[in-house]
Amino acid sequence: MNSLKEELERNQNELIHLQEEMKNLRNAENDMPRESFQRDYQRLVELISQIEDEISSIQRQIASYDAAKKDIMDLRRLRDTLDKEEDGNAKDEIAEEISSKEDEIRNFMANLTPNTQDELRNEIISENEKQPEYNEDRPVSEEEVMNPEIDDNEVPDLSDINNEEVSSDVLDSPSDLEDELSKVNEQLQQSINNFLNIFDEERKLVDQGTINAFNQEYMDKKIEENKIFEKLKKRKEELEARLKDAENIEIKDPTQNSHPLLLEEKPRPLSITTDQNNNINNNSKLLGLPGPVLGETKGISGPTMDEQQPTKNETLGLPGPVLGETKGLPGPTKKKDTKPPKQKTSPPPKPKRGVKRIIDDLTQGLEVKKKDNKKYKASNINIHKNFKTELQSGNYLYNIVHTAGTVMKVPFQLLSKLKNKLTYRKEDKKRINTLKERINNLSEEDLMTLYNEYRGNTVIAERFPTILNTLLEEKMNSFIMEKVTAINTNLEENYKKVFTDYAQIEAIEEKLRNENLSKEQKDSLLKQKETLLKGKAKQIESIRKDYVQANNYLSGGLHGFSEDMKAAATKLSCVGKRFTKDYDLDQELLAKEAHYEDEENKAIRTGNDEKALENFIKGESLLSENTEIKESVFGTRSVGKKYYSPLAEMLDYRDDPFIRDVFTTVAVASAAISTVNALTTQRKLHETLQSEQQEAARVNNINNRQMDQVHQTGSDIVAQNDNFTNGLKAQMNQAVTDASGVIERKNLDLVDWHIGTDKYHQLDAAGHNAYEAMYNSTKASIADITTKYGSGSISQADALSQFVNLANAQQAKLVGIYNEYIPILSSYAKAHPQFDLSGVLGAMKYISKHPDAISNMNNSMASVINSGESLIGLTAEQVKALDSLPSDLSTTILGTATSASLAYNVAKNMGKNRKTSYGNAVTDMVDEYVENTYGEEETNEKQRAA
Amino acid sequence: MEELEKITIEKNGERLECDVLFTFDSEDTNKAYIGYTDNKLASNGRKNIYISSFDPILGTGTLEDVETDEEWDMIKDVLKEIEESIER
Repeated sequence: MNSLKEELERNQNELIHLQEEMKNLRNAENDMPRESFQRDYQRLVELISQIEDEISSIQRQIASYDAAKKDIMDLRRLRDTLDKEEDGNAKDEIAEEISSKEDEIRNFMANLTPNTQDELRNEIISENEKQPEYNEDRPVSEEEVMNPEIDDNEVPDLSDINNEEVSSDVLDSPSDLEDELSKVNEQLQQSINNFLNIFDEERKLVDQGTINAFNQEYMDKKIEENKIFEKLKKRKEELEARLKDAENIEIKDPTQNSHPLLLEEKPRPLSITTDQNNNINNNSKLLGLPGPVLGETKGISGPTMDEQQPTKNETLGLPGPVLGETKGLPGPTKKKDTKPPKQKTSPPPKPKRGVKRIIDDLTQGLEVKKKDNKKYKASNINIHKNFKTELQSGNYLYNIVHTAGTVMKVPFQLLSKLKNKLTYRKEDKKRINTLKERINNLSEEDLMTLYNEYRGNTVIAERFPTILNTLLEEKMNSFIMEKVTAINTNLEENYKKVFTDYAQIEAIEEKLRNENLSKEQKDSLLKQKETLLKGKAKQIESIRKDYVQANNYLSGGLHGFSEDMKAAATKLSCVGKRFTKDYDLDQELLAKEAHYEDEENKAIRTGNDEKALENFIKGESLLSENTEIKESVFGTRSVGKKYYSPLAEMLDYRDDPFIRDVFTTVAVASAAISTVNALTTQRKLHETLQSEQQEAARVNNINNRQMDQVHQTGSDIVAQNDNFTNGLKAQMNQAVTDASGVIERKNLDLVDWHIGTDKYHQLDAAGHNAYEAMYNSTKASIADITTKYGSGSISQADALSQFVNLANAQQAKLVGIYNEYIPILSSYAKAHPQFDLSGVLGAMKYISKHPDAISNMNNSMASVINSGESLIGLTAEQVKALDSLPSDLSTTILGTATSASLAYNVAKNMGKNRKTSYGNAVTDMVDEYVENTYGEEETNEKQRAA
Repeated sequence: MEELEKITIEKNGERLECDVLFTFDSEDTNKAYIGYTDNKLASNGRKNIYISSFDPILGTGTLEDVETDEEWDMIKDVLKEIEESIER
């Protein structure tokens, strides 16, 4: 941290130096050559820009460092609290907070460089060593520091702490200091933003003239801003130091043996004198004066205080503290509580609640109804039928007038009639009073959340029952008016002070005009004047700021809030304003909204992008889903519970609602709704799929098993390829051998077994040539096919196919030989009845009569192998992938022949396992596809045939 | 409210018969309110609607002025409600 701070300081000094240089350069612009000025100017701009970037980066790291360190300390306390907490619900809350802290720490650490992480690690360890009560029994390891989830059982033992170690000069509680520090951090960030804004503006300028003009205007602002920045930085360091001290005090508190925040059991031996104490008490009467005066408090009136004694005022909701050296009136101080502090358990810091969470909690268990507002305000509204008719006709406009000074007699029956109509239900009143009470008990933070966030389109979109808006507006009026009153009190005091001092200064001026004054008298008067003048600029600035703030609260803020409530009451901006449908408060819907809001806020806080997005979409979708616009006899009108309108619109209830309805509201609402509807549809689809996932998984599992089986079958078939090939080869050789045998026998039969005759010799020689040629041809063909397959020029399937063709050709030749021989054998058999040749003849005749039997068998073998390869190619993953594709994409993919053939096999096999309609969408699609495709082919064939 | 169509008032010593347009009650003020008109047009061409209150419990038979801003706010709300309930 020190290295970062040093680096930051170095860069800030460098920035100041460069800014001074820039100022000097600007002053010297007219005395130096143009080119030289521009070159130097450009250089300075670039350097300043670099330094700014560097400062910004270091600031981010410092912020992350501080936040991580603070979170680690918080985490330790939370774990301690968790261990001691007995309430189950509270335990859950703390555990959740611990989890959240751990996430935060990880995120912060990710922003730090490894060196800075080491530095933080060492600092934490070093602090642990300084606080033996924490690590005496179980030292905190480096891993624990950086990986806070490692151990949840760390319980700091504070029982043996020396009471005398308590520092006497820290009066503020850590939570106060943390708040203060948080404000200063915000102001620092604002100061940086101011800087960046100035430079952003500057960078937009391209013309040297405008740049110079800009500098004339802004250089002083930059320097001024830098001074503010420096002061804030000092203030921050001071607060950090004090916070650290305060935390040490807490941890070292001797009074209790459990929680470090249990400060209240015994009085702390603060080294404060009676006088000082009185002073503090006196100061406490000045509550309501402007911001805290810290450190150097040198007022010219009011009680003096020890400069070492930091004080803190009660801000009463006023804007941030006045920073830096405030040497005016002593600021109001917090009354020192000298009573023995009470023991209390420190709850874990709670995240800020969102609007919906606040409203949900407010209305929990209360039935807030659409008619409640009228019951609260008025009831039993009776409208005369003639008046109704007149209103409907639209023929008249009306003035609503007083009847001042008029005494009127009313018929008795009117009074008695109306008397009977005062029929409030006690329960309704009680319900509304409860709601009112809850609203009155809202915390300052919640009220500010509502004040800042529950307005404009949000009010219109939520469409809460009007009673809620009415009561909130009432509360907001008193809440903001309290703030304004406090500011006005400040203003009054400051005005008084400024004018009183001015009167005194004038009196001094008058005295100074006396020429007879001695030097001592003159000096004394001048000193008095100087003292009176000191801090006046700040006081006047404070007056101006307070004035602006008070006006913002009133005119912009409170007035705007009331206008928005009015707009909501009149259903302004809702389509079909006059006929918009009202609803009672839907607590279930609100609870959902609040839940999504909580989750979104939590995710944003911990930097969880995915959760933030998920809950944002859910929240927006919920609003959109509950927005419904209908066409009715009254025209387009909103009939939903919500009125989703995410784009900001200015709500001006004076506008003609019908014009707005047509040209603005419908357009805005429609555009937004259509966008969110697209998301909603996608989400619903996802939900539907999820709901059937289990069944789908089951069916898919069966299908996958089936496909595995198919795959295995394919593998088995293809594994037979060699057998088939060898079989075919053997068959071909057998055919040659058979051919040779048949030819031999034919020759002998032809010569009637007279082997020595010339005719036999001739036939024998021709036969030998024939089957030798047949053998050689077959052998060569087999070798050729094998070589091609071996070289990869043909596939296994091609090789098999060629073997089949070859085998078929050989078979055809053999059949041809059989056909030639059968007549000869028949004749021979008749001539030689002593030989039974009927078996041989029958076999030959069978083969001759079925010449395709063998070739069919061969073709089938090849076909089986090809089918097997298809089955192998169709893996379970393919089936699953096909199954999970959106229908349109599947159709596209299945449009290709390859996929179709695969899918056809899938369809056949999967169909057996079909249990539900879900999960077989692809199957159905494939069926349809196959049917259509085959149907088309069939039609085409028929057409061709015709 | 058919039997309550008209009331007679005295204004500047003159007796005026007025049409009752609407009535309502408020528990907050413990008063009842009545809106009525003498059907005369004001200079801006609009009809005047007078609003008065009375104490239904005491039943004095006297109409009184609407006194406070809160009452007027409530009356405006009622008028808005009446306007919105009319289907044109």
